[in-house]
Amino acid sequence: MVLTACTDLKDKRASKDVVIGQLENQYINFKTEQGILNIVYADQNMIELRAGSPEYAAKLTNKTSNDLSIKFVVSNILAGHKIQIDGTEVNELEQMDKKKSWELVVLANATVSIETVQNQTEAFGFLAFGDIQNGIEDFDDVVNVLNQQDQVDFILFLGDLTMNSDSEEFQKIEEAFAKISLPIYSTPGNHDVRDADRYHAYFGKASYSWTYKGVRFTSVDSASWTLSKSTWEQYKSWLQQAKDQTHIVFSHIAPTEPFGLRGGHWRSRREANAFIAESSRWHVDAMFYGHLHTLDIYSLAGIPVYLSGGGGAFQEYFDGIERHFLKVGVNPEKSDISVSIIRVD
Amino acid sequence: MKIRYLIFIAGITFFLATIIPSSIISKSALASQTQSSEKHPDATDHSPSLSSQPINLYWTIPLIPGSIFVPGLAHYIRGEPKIARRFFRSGMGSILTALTGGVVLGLTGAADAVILPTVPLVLLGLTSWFSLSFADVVGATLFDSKPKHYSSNFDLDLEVFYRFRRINDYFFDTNAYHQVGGAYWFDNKVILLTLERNTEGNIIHYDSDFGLRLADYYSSHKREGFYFHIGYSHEDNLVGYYSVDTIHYKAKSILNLAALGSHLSSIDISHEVGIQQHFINYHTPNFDGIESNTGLIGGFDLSWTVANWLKPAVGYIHERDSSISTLTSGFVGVYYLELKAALADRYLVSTRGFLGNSKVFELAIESSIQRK
Repeated sequence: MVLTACTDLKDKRASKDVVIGQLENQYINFKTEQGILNIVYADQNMIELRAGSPEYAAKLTNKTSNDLSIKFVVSNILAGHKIQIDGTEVNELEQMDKKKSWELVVLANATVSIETVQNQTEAFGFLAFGDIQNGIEDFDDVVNVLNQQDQVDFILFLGDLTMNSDSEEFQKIEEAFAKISLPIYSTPGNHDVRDADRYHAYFGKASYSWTYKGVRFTSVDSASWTLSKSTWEQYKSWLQQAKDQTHIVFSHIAPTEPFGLRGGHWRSRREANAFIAESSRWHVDAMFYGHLHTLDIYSLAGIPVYLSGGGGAFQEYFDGIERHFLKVGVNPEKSDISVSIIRVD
Repeated sequence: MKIRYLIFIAGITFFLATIIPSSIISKSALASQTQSSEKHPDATDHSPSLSSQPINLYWTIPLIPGSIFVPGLAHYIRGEPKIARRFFRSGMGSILTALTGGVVLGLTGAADAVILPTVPLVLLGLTSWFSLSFADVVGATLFDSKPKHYSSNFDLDLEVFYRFRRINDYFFDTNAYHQVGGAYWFDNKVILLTLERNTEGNIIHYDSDFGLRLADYYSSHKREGFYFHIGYSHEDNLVGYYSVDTIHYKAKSILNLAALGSHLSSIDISHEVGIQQHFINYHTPNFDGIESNTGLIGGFDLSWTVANWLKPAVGYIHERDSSISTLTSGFVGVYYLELKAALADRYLVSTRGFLGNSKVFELAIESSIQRK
């Protein structure tokens, strides 16, 4: 029952985050510069990536002395997703559900820049929930209700996709997510990192930060009930970068939970309070967490907190709610965030 | 979170799966022992005398499957069924306590309404089960039949201490804490005061605690009994822009194991469980106000006075309001090993290391006196 061994695992995950989205082989050098791209497959003819953010920018270098024609495939994309190659918008080669491909011709020893067409700062919506785990068996019910939602662009998943992070569970999650019409951006839960490499392989980075339509979204990896030193340092820099933006922070385990006896908060109260104080200092506008299989709405240092673990995992009884998710509307120009609860049961 | 319950059930299954073969093995071992005319008062007539059993066999007791998990099995193997029964009954009481809390927690999915009564039961049940098992194995393996009484340097009335804690709180860029304090035991009361400060001087923590002994046990040890504690602490955290006021309440039990077997008089077990209520006063540009939340405290300590000058201990702590707080998580705390040694009359040095990858180390110097 000594969980202090987990403190090294968080450092390993943080180290892995650095290399995600980067690839170098004998043919190409691929480097993600903004946003999140998780490399699923790469050879000299094709590179397939899973987007971990609505927008991204990357550079691809042809290391060979021959021109290369590369099929560039990206999954988990927004509706209407378009990219520019060296500043010129290109048409897609193929389009499937949440996936598109393009043909890239990269001259010998040349580099091309690839970036999504930027979205304007405007109001939008997203969905948020966490904790599927054993609920994957009945998840079609949740999928049906998710797909009924309109005026939402993506889903933030708040951690604990699986029970034991084994490959069969991740496969089921992938199959379930393929039925959802929206892209899904995830933060890891404590159950997801029992085999952290598998989580990274499927979903990419654990801690990251990106901007969409003028709103900053930041995920911090709290799956070990604490943050690694490098995550702390990154988080502080992201806070400063986003100080003039509407900033939404999401993670799996809340630093402190409203009813503190369930163990659903970080291992160090000092660290938790420091995180909250820093977040408040730099104007975080809202926080979303999972881990507890219920719904709690409270505040931490004045920051509204939405704790939603209603994805179907072992539900808490007598709390007045069963499976559910949150529908969030954001207006970045007014820094306005509105949250409504959508019940599945 | 539910995996903890599965682990608990697995432990029970293992316990049941091993007790039967362990008993068979132990009875075979006892059958080969020679009888002695000198009987220990706790031994039954048909059991071989303790003093006749070759001491060099006792080291095998912890190797027998189940001995670590079944309180009493170790003393049963040693041929002390009466003491074994006392341990076993206490252990079963602990299991029942933990199960009562755990089952309710599990059936309700850890509903808010049941958390407060059930989680302390689980914590208390599991820690007492573990400490009884450990004491059973240590007592059966290492002790002979005669109780030993030491004029102890360790339990005097007034204790003053300095502790140095090496712990890396990188979110505060701090590596170590100094702690000074004292405890005064008088009549049936105890007062504890501590002041902790990090080496950079920007985290300062004051702690006060008052304990009242509500019931005595067997009075074989002057601190033995059941206590209720109440306390207040304040922390100024200039790094994190907040201060915290905390009130805590806890129940604590200190038991000398002579209650289970007279040869165990040098072993003390303490258990505690309680609640802390925090009031966090944030001082950030965007928020200047107070928020509150609660937390658990708990743990156990099993110490063995080996000699007048030496007292090792093993313990488990779940505590969130000091530098130790970095090590605990949810329901789970961290184990530690402690060694106290008397340098000279009334002066002690102790060192404590916390298990796992915590990289926390504590060194303390303590002085004690006894009232005339």
